[in-house]
Amino acid sequence: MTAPAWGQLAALVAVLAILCPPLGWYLARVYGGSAAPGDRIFGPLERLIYRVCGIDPEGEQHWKVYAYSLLAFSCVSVLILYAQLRLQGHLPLNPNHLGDVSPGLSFNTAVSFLTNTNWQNYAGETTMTQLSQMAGLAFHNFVSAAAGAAVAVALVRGLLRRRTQNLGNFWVDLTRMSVRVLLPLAVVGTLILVSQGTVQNFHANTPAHTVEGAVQPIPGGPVASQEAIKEAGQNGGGFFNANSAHPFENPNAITDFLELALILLIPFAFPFMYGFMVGDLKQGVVILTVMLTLWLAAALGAMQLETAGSVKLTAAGANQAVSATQSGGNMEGKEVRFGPASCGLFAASTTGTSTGAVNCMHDSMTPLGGAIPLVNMMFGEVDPGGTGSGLYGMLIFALLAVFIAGLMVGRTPEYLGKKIQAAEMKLVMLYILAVPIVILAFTAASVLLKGPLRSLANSGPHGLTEMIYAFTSMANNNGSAFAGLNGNTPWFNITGAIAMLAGRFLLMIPVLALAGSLAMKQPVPPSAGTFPTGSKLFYGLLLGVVLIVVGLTFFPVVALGPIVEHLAGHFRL
Amino acid sequence: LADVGFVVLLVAFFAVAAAFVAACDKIVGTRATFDAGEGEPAPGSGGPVRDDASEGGVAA
Repeated sequence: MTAPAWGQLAALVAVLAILCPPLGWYLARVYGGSAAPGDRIFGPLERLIYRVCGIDPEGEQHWKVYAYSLLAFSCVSVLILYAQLRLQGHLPLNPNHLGDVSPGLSFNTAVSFLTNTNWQNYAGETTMTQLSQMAGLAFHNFVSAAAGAAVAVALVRGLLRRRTQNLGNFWVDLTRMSVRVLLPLAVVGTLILVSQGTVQNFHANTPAHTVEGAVQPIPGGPVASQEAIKEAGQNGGGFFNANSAHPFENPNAITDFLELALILLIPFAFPFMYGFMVGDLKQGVVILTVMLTLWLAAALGAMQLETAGSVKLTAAGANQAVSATQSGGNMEGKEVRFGPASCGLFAASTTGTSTGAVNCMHDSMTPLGGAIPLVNMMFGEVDPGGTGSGLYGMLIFALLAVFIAGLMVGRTPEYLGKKIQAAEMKLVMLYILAVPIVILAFTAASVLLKGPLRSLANSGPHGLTEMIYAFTSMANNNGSAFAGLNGNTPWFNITGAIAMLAGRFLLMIPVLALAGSLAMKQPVPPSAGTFPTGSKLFYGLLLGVVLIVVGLTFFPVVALGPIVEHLAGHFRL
Repeated sequence: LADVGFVVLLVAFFAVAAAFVAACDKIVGTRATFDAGEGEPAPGSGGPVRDDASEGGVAA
């Protein structure tokens, strides 16, 4: 890796180290229920929303009511988005006179943005009107992130509370996260992006006459405002087809760095929030260090593999050395202004979180370099994960870890004083098994059927990687595309939407049930036999559990895809 | 017709999700019944489950 690549990584870690702890403290205050910074600014807006929507901010909800509120909000909002996309040709803010979105694509897109996935079977600049982008897709960028955060906070409250069935109020949690965290962050991010040249206007396409005599439409639109929340809420759906590789979304190294920081800021702040809320920062630090270890390993691996270059390009006689005129490494599918190291860092960050934005084409990464974003998603979006979903995903692994530790020493496991019993482990198992079943079943069906296979651009192990990547991305609500797969077909629009819905709600419901179950328990005081979950030992155990569970589940398919492709390229098979 | 089909599919999914909430509540409910009895056997269970966490014993 080059010195600038190391510098970029070090600067990113430094910025996160400065910003995440105070943001975690702020989040703890936002969700704490008592006075929080910014009450005078945000309070009136929140009260207005509560009045208009008929919300009682003091009303506490049983976990089932909390879950039903989440489902009701999701069901209504996805139907509204579906209708908006189907009717967009008849609605305002359509300067390019685009038509209605087709039923299958509307279905897939509505589900995709509802579930914080932002998988896109379309090119934004030729499919979506500016109203659809702003009032449809960007709206979900806010509320889908806030809904994920609400579920995580409900789980933390479940761990904290005793002898109660109440977990807070879903509507209040949704509103406070949107108004007090995401909105300010999006405004600041937008202003910085605009200052650096990211497009923000309501222009129609501007025709440009090229030197070859062709006419090229130059797109406009409210890009920066969507770009900021796309990264800050770990959504990832690009205004343009090329996503953050497009110069109008991500014009230079400064915006690239800002987007990386926005992607990682809230997910890495959540463990601090957790530590502050439970009153034991060590608990949060253990969660944080496991997330950080996995993310750093992925980032360093992808950066190194892409800067080292491609075996196939070497065989074809390409010069991949670093020089004054090129950044070196595997430049296929990379933006010249970013280079391979930035691609690796962005790829690891966007897949470790549930963002899915890309600043390079993952399909063009080296086989093992491309395996890193794939495996990152297979972890279940926990390094550091999406807004809230990263924290609750890692807490599920923590409960599994204490259960395994309890089995090894023959004691009833505890976590933060709450006994982890059969009911909790059944819910943990539902969570752990749901997504792998969806991924592997849909991938297996897709490679057995002739129709889905025709969507692939490649055959052999690379084709398998394209297929498994697509379902891994959708089921884990990531949304990044490996490319090389035409997803706008009835099969992928429908199975993809089912995978996204299952990957979202079949995980959130057990988490809320778990929170409700834990909230009812009376904590037991720590004894000599209590496993210290704020210790280095637990860090090792938690890291090991994550690696073993994911390894046992997905290693065979990773071996048949990117590993076989790497070996075949290396030994010229 | 396609619109009707997709709307029905969406509503059906959320109906299934609501049923899944009820299924998870049954899992939670079993444990809650046991906890309410503070060591007494839950209805239909084989007998009392030992709370070993504070005794250093072997899990039942």
